[in-house]
Amino acid sequence: MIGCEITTRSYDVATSTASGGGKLVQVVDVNGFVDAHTYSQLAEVLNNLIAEGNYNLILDLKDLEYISSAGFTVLLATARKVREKGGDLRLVNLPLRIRKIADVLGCSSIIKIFEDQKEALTSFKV
Amino acid sequence: MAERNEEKVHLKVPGETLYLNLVRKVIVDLAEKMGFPEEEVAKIEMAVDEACTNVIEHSYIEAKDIELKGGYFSRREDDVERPIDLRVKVDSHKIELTMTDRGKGFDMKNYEVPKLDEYLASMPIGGLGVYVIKEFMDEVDYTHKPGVGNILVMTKYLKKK
Repeated sequence: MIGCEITTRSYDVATSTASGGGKLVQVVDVNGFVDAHTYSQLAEVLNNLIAEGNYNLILDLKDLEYISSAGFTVLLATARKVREKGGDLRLVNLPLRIRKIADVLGCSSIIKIFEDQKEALTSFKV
Repeated sequence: MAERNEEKVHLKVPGETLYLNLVRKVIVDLAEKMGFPEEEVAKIEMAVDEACTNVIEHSYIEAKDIELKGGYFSRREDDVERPIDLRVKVDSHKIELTMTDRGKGFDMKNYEVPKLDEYLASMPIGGLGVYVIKEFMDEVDYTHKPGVGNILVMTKYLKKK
């Protein structure tokens, strides 16, 4: 795969299914790499979700190979935007090397990180 | 690890973001073979990526040259060569990366790195790249040589266990 592949899924945190009716959370899978070449793709997907009224977002980074500072700033900017609307951005399944970079850069003190998707979805119930 | 003779690699690719992944793969491969731990490899990878991005998006790009092509910044076609020119020297103790460009340059030496906590608290867009380069590498030196260009040298030492 060359570049970055982004897919989104909608979850109802009350039932953990894709059906509506409860508090909806959008899960965004980000595969490949987010660098100066691809970060605008991620920004566009996240901005579109926000424009459509989705303020509870989970980014599943299980298959993320690399993220640059531009990628981290997209995450920080998205977190700021959804928090202004009463929502939040949460991260799950960070590969260890990326988790360590996020820790060093201080991003993990600003954005909540969970070990798996179930845990992150449950956190939105509160 | 056995003493290793100095090895040199010269990487020259077009100065476009499309080639960043290729540059990262080469550097990661070299750093892993040298025996850097995974976390340090990730830091070297990110510092190189940010340095290349700075050259492409700041040193080479004049306002009149900016063109948004397929969602990323690219320079307009002309006959001026603006490559990513990266020379890598490795030995048993360190990896030294020398990046040369003939763009307008960016004086990294005199750029004051912001305090990270205050910087992140404002949740800005962009600007973390120089912090990454300065903090993730052991030594960073920037010079401008007339007739040669802007020269950024980044060094990371392999700490013995």
